[in-house]
Amino acid sequence: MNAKLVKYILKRLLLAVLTLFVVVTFTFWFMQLIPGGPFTSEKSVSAETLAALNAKYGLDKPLFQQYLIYVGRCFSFDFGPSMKQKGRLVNDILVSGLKYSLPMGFIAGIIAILFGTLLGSIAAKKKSGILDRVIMILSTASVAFPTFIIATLLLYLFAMKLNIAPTDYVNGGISAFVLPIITLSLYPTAYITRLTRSATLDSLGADYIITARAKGCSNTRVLFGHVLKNSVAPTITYAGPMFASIITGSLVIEQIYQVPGIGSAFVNSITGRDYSLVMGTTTLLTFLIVVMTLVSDLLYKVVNPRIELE
Amino acid sequence: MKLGKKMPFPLSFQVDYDRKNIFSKEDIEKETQLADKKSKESIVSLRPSTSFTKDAIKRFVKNPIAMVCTVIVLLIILAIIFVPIICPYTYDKQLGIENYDATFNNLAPFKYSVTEQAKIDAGEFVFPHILGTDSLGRDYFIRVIYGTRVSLIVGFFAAVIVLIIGTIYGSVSGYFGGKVDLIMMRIVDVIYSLPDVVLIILISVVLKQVMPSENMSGFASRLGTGMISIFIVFALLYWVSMARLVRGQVLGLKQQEYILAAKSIGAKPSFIIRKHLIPNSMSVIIISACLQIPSAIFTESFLSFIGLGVSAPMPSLGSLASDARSSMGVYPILLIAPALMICLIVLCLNLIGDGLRDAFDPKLQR
Repeated sequence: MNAKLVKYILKRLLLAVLTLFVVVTFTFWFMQLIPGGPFTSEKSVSAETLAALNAKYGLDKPLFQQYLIYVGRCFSFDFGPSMKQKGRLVNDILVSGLKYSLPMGFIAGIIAILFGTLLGSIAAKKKSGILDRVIMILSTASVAFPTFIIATLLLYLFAMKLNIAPTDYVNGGISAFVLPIITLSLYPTAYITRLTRSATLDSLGADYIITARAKGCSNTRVLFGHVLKNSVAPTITYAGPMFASIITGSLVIEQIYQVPGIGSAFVNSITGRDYSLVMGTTTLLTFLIVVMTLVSDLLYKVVNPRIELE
Repeated sequence: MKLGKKMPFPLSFQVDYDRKNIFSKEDIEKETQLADKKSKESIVSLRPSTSFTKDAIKRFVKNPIAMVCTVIVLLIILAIIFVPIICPYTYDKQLGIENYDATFNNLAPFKYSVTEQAKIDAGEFVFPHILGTDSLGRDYFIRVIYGTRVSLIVGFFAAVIVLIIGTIYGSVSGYFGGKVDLIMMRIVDVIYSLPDVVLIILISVVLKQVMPSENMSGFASRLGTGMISIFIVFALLYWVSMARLVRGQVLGLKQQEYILAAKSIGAKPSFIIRKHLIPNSMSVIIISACLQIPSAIFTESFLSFIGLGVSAPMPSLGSLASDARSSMGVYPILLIAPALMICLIVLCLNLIGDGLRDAFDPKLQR
């Protein structure tokens, strides 16, 4: 069994590395399609300066050699200096972006798991009741509404009409993160609610619950010790994709709420053709998503030992 | 038993488990009476045979939520076909520009500009601006209708692309099995774990610079590079879940005897896949494709929202919502109309997909 687990982890690690490699390769060759380099748009640059700039950033080398250097840099997480924001290292830009994005995403994820599990359990316990109906309608609606619409409407309602939330982080401080976090957590909360509800319904009708009740377990013990333990399992597998959806959601939400996070850095880097920053952000985002998926899959295995590994 | 013209009896007998009261006393009495009346020879009444699809459609029709959503979607489709024919305005016509009249800009719903008011006073009929006009004096209702048209078309074709690639890939992988399956599925695994939105943004930004819209012709130029990159992304990334689904179906189906029979009479793999495997997994494929449409609309509106989607003046629901953001404090209707439309379409298509899944897979019902 243990050997199997090790083999599984190794296989997943290999897949993770392969995924990173594919993304890095694709990004590099795809960026080459854009006519001109990062410095062509700059005004009054003489041929010598251009050549010197290209030499400085290694753009004068043959393409394949540039590619090899890139791959090496990506796997050592050293992306060198930014090509557009003079004097800043890509790593510094990434860290300053993560300073906002990571706590925001993390808190949104925790909120989603807590509220999703709670609402889902309540809905399942009160199946077909009014509470269940309300929760299900709300969660169906939140899954169907695009995050950017929700973000804009929240901004309109709370910042412009009711005037109780700051419109951007510059004058708002910590409270400016309330709306972005709510927006980010809405979709995963709704999804987890649905997952938990169906899983709870499943386990409420299972034989081991009847056994537990027959043994004389108290209601709380049955609910928390037996039902909850089983209904949390699907949420754990979803945690990886959830993190991915929060990251991708933050790409647009950061633009709406004007948070200078990793999402804004990414969009700006592509439009500005800042090659090294593009490579940095894609690699980082892919890395985060791949690692989170791996961790959540392994956790699932730990929580639910009945699952056979492929 | 005579099979005369008066009594077109079907030749098979099937119990409809859906009708809970089928074995009730009243029913049997009624049917016996009916049978007695019609023919003294038959005692057991025969019901017309139903196929799996007919059964599923029956279940679908009985689902009120799914039916309401279907009606709404059909109404929207009718609107996007017929409203542009009826409505005299176009999505890019700036009404106040010919005989300059600034009162055309930012009209409230059902209000008229000075020029139009004069016409109305003279007894002419002026088509009302149902949602008012935007800041450039374009009729907003027709822009929302065109935006819906673009969004739905994108969603539909993206789903078709996913359906074609996913079905072929999945069925080939599932049918041949072994090493072919292993390699094909590893490729799927890798693609599955790629961050989709990151790649979408990358691809659309790069394509926008590689092929500017001016160089294209016809419909493609009107949609712009943003739309084309959405199709490319769907063709590259989104087919994998469909491929997995179809492969799973095919793995189960290929153990069936009729596949063995087909093989034994020398049918080629392509024939078996086309004539046996794909038709038999069609219901799963269609449901998944139906759920793919809202996801594509989501992606399209998301891209248009951050300015990478359709190129102006062609509207899409996402770009309309995005444009309305700057003036949402003053003219909230400009934001609410397209936002509501996106939500309505996505919600309805999701619920229709759920309804279809429940109808075609009653075991999964929850």
